[in-house]
Amino acid sequence: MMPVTADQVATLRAYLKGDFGEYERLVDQLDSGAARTGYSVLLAAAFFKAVDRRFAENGTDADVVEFVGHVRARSERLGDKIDPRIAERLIRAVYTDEDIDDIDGETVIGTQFLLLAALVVDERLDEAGLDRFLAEARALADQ
Amino acid sequence: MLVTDEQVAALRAYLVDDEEESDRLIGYLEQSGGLDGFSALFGSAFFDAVNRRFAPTWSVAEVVRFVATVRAHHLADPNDLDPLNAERLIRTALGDGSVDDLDDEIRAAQMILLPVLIHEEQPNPVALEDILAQARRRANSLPL
Repeated sequence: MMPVTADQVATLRAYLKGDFGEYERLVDQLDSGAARTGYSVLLAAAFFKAVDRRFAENGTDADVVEFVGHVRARSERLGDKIDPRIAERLIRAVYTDEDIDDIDGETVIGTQFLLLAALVVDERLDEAGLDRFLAEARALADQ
Repeated sequence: MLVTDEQVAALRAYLVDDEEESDRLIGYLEQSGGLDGFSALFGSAFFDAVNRRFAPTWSVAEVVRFVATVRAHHLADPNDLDPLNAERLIRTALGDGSVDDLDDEIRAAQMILLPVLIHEEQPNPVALEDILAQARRRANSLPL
């Protein structure tokens, strides 16, 4: 697999910063299957990192359920878009042997996308913090 | 058919966590054909409890957070309560939507949610009797 590109990192960065104009512009430029695949791998790595930081060491099942509940409660749109049980399973799959093979790829990516945004918002990262986080995700994706 | 004293006693025992008495009375109702009336009473008590908790001004966000809290803190296994079913059930009691397609799931979710709602209210024994009487009146007025 090709290494993650600067454009893919910039796309995810724009999304996580809430710069949706820039995000729309950049995501349109991911115009090949390879580019989109690389972006999905980066997203999965970032999701892994964020969940690991938040839940792996001290998080309980109750924490995961509450977190997903709070994310879904933020808006009716989020409540409708996120299936709570799938979201909980995706989070647990990062640090347990929870099997998520039965969840289709589109749902996995879509849910990870939304949960990642919430996890990053909760961490209140400044610019440097976000850059460090994305660098770690990129390094993990490239492994 | 009108709600019987035994059905009210079974619900009372269930809500005060008297497992032995509740099992005994529900077992009796099973054998004597009184479970339908008990379900109607239970459903009415649930409707009332939901409306006391959330109405008149409620939001979907509140319902989502409430169900998440129940699953996170009131159950040994959060998977014992389907969150989407529970949210639909509460919203239906608030006049938003319907749950005609959720028979066994309705009962299971109500059995979990109603005690939590009542415990939150922390009714003293007299207030609990008022709650039961109100549910009984509502159940008695349901169409056959």
